[in-house]
Amino acid sequence: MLFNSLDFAVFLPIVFVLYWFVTQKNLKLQNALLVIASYVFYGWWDWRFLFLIVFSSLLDYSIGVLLYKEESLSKRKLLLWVSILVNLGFLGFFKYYNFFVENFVEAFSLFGQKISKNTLNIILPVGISFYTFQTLSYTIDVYKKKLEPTKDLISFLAFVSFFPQLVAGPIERATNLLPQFYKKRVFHYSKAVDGCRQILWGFFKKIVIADNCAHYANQIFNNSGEYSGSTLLLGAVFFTFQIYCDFSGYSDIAIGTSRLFGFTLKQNFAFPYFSRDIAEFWRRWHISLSTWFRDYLYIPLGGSRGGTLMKIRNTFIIFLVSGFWHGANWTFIIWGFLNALYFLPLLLAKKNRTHLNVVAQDTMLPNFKALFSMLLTFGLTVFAWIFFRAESLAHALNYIKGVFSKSLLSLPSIRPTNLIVLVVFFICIEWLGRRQKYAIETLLLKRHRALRWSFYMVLIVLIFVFSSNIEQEFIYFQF
Amino acid sequence: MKRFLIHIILFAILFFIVDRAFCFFIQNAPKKEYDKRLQYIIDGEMNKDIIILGSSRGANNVVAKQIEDSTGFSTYNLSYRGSDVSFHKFLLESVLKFNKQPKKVMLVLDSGYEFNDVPTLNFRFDRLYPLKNYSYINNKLIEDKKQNRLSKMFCLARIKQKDFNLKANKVLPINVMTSHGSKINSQKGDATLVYGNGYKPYEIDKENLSKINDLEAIQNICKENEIELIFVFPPNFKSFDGSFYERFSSLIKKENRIMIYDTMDVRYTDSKYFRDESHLNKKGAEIFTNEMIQFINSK
Repeated sequence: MLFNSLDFAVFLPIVFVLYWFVTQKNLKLQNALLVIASYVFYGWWDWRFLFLIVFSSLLDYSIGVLLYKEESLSKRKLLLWVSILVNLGFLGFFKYYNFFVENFVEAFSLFGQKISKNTLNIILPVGISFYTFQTLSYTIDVYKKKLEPTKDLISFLAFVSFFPQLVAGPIERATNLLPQFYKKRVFHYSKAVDGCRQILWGFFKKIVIADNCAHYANQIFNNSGEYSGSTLLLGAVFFTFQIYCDFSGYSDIAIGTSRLFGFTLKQNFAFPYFSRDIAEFWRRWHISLSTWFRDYLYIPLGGSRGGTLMKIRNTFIIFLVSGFWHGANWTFIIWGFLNALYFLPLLLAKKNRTHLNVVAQDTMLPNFKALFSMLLTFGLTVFAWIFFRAESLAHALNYIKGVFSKSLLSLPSIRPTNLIVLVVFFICIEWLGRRQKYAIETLLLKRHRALRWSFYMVLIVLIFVFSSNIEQEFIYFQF
Repeated sequence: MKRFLIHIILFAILFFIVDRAFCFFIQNAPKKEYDKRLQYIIDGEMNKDIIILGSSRGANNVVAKQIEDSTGFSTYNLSYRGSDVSFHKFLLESVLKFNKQPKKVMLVLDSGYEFNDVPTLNFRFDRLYPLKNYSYINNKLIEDKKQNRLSKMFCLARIKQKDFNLKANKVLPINVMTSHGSKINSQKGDATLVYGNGYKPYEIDKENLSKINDLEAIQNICKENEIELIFVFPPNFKSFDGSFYERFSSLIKKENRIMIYDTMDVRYTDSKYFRDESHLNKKGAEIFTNEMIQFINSK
């Protein structure tokens, strides 16, 4: 089920009413309702893959219980590896099987060996990359004794399948989300209103900015050979806003929906395009995934504690894996590689933690240095996104060649004025709200309700007027 | 919770009021159009004995008023430039739904590519958008995924950016509303046109099955409603496409008639009667319409 669908518009109020009015008095029943609702939400897309989630949940639940009982280190290790191998095995099969087969065959063809391609017509189960990482973090935390395993199966099933964040994150840690299922949730007016506000902003980002940017980005990327350098650059900028608004919009809707049910999820995006260097960008972009890789991959590998070579190795590993996590295509790997290249100089110069505060923390506008740094970081990001969006490496390279041609200085042949005005409006609102968890969290809160509601109404009108005829999927569903 | 629900309800009421206010733009949209043929159909003002369906070849080549004057049958040309057989089927269904049924339907064919997916022949959704204040049209747009399902409930979901422009559309030099729907071109013949004699075999594998089905549906509708259906082959500035005719004949039911232009008439090989290789000018259209009148009267 898509957030931006009529189905969800009906589904959400039904679950809300059942949750707060029917099952409110019984915590177990309330959690069971969430499990059922989550399975309906997921099964709406393809019910067959529900078995995968249930299996994965039961496996990690059982391993968690066994890990708690088991004292022997070797047996505990074995249990951990079973969980890792099974979870990553599913992920590898559904997401990477064809990629490996194709590359294996191509590699052998270089040596004159002809092997027939046995690729399979595999459907990627929506959200598998997200819930796999969520369950893995549970098992690893239990193994490391950072977390006591749950004995409450219903709570665990609800934790793995919690519908607001099931298919595209944020990837929640058991330490944060699971305990929230143990406690009775109390309805708070301010929490619920805040949730609604964040949902509204998420829809605005997704429907008004992302979907409309997608229209032009697709047109330009799909026919890149026909456009001037300036138009190609505009296409890359549109994609830059598309991917951000699509994914952070989803996260906003997910976090806002969770708040309606009394849950608090972690912030997933913190205005990454206002970053002053790539290290700051990665602290602000897809935070739940970045911190996952940091805690479960980078730090176990040694992090930045070792010598220079180890730092370089670990940086490349984490960025390449991050790229590969996004999809089975060399374009994603190169995207990760580029980000590693951007990041390394900062790490080696020990300047990767220079910008820990918010840009222009105490002022309305940034100073020249901060503005220049932001624009430079944004430019580097736009460049990297070209690889992310391109169909293949050749496509990306031709696209870049097209951008850096003489026609870069000409006027773009595609100039959607309305969209450009909306993007500027969006940037202004994001800038105003950059100190909050999401842009409109406190916007106009101290003003009269009439003014605030008028602003929300304007957002709703824009959502309707700029909405597409059909419900557009979120980009991160494919990951 | 009570406070939250009250605020949600209040906000919903406010939204409802704002939504109703935006209905103005939807209701104003049809007024901006000068081509009101589809609106007349839905308003039940298209009660004609003969209707002509087709693409620009129907609009340019058939003088509806001439047919009306000569046969005594009230006639209207519902041909839309660039429209395909699926759109013709939709028009016919709409006429039957809201109007008295016609006695005859003349479907002007695009010889050679009537059933192909070509960029020049489409379902003219652009003609439907201005009329989305009609539920019938809105439902059709939803059915074809050209409109969000929410538009059934909210005016705001029907509005697009274009609707905020309140200016009326410019009337084109040839106003179909003053010529019984026909779009007759007075332009002089193009002397540079070269008559095409080549033979090109018809390629069945390029057909779109849904267009074949729509042709069959048109035939079924006419049969069920006892409407005489006449398929019309107008002239091109090239020799008759026998290959397409052969394929077409295999698709039509025996009760329907086919009218082919007089392939022996040398005037159809003279460029002065043509605007371009696929469309006649006024003189050519009058000649061809005369042929149609004779065909109608022949039964």
